[in-house]
Amino acid sequence: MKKDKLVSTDLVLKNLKIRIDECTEEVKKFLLIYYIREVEMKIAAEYPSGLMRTPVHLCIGQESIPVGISEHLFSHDKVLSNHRSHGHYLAKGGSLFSLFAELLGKQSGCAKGRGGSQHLIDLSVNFIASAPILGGTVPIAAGVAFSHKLQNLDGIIVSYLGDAVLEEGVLFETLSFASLHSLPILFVVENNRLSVHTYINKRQPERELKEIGPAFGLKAGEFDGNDIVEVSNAGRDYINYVREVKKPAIIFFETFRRLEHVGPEEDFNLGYRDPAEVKLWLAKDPLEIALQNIFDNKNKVKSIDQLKSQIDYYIDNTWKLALQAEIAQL
Amino acid sequence: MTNLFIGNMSYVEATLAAQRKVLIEKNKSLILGINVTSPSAIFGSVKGLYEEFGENRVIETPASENAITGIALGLATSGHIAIVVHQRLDFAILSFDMLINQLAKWRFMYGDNLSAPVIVRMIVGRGWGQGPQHSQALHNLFMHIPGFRVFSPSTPQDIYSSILEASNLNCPSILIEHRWLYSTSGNVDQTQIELKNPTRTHALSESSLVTVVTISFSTLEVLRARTILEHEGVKIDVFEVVRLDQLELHSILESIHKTGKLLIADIGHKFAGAGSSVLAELVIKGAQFQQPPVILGLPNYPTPTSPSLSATYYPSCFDILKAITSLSGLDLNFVDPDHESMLDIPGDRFIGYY
Repeated sequence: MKKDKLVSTDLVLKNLKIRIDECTEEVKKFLLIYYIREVEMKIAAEYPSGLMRTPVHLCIGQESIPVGISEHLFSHDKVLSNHRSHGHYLAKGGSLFSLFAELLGKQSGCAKGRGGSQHLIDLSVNFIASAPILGGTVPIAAGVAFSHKLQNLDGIIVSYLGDAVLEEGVLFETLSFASLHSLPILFVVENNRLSVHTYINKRQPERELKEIGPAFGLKAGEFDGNDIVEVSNAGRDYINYVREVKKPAIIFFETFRRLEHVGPEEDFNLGYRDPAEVKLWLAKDPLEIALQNIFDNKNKVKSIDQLKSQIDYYIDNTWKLALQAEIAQL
Repeated sequence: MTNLFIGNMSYVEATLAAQRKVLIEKNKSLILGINVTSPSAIFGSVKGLYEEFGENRVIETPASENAITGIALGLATSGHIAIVVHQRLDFAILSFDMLINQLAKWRFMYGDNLSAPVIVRMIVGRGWGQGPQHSQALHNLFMHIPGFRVFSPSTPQDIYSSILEASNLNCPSILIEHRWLYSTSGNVDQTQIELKNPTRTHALSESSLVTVVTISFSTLEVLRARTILEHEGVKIDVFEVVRLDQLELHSILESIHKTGKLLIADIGHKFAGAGSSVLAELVIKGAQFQQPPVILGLPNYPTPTSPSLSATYYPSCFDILKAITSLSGLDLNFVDPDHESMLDIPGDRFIGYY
């Protein structure tokens, strides 16, 4: 069955009215990271007004991962996610208006105001669902992949999860089933090493995370999740593997949560973060790395500022439209 | 005139026939569960389906109840109808995260953009020492969670209609099947693809002295008691609440208006159970009683294993007779109809539905 072969991240740029034929791959990556960053910054800036009455788990610092994954996804590929889902949703082409409207509790929100930030959905771009219970959408994503397998459908499924899901039994039930039935699914683990305020070394034994994959018969690898080039290359390899070999894989990305677990602020003052780690990761900002990548590849950059303000305008304008939308009613 | 679609069937045959009809008529439907492809075929309730429809429609699963429920939901979201089978309700407890956090809320929390036609069959065990973890009747938990349609039918017709009704919904359904119902039989009209009434009227008379509301298997014990009472010239009204998520109480309220006396017989725990919820709804809707209502159910401790301990655990036909006698104020004495039998097995008396 032949489907629309539109690349998900190209769709995002098209929606932003950016002429993708005039952008190099490096510029596209940067603009996508910038778009997600600026949406999250907009939410953080507006949050104190109290109009968004939903807990927000912002993904600032982790934007490279959904970009480097969605670059290799087509419209008919499907994504399921967790509570920190804004980046996953936006990189797959999820409607910004429907996101803002959902956060503002509007009827035209993607879940009609019933789900808020933690239950994003946009079926028009095959962003199937996101849910905050740890591991909640992991087996559901496998069920979607099982449907693809049973019907011999084109397309793969991406299941995003955080490192704390490695502590949930349902993940291992799902990895086992996915492997047993050779499901076309890629599990993407975003390892920011923090579960709310608790570091992974207090929660999990010391081990090579990627060893979990082969234990269940899955191809597995671990990469730097803040370096867009590394994420993109790994994303391409693993997605091609799932697509062509038609077997599941799991990919671990180390990354860094810039803000508090939930809410718009930084929380370095709470003292639970390791200062050396913070320093290390602040120097590895995804946006800076993506910008450097443009220079490294000797791209012309004269239009970058103009493209950035085009994105800023789109975000501000969409926010204003969402503010004007009707409130949700049952 | 004979109707090809109406015939006598056992409860388990009706369960099987309904699932087979779903598999035939809906090509994206499937059955998943532990042991669904085994020779015992979940007490025969899926017998022959694996052989007839193959491994892509009747799917043996790992012992991963929680993930399997999530996988069923993922399938349902993708346009399938997924029937998940648990040989014991107790095993489904391993899937409560997926059931309660995801499945029940799936349609609502995504603004009705997604469907969740998952049918979860849960079998309630009893007897022969099933004990604390093979006999729980926890239908009341599912009544409490918005989003499920909950069926607990006692007749072959109603299990047949419930399964087909569930297969045509876009919300999830829970089917509570008491194991001791499986060999009972009755007429099944296979054209009846929806439950005719959420509450089934089993007995109704102008001169009834007591209104009795039943759930699942307790219906059979109450109907035995009814036959014994009739020999004494005493009549009772009997209503079985078949759909538990939305109580249809109109006929029950009319009956209480006439009798002023109510007995509720449940298969689950008495305290904070389904019976209490039915009673609360009746009171809220204006039921008035001449005597305090009585609920018969399980006591507030887990199911014991030894037959000597289970003899006093499950409400018996004799308990029902005593409760009705007491409520009606009649001076009647009965011999315990089960005084010669072991209460940990259903016995021959439940072959044939009455």
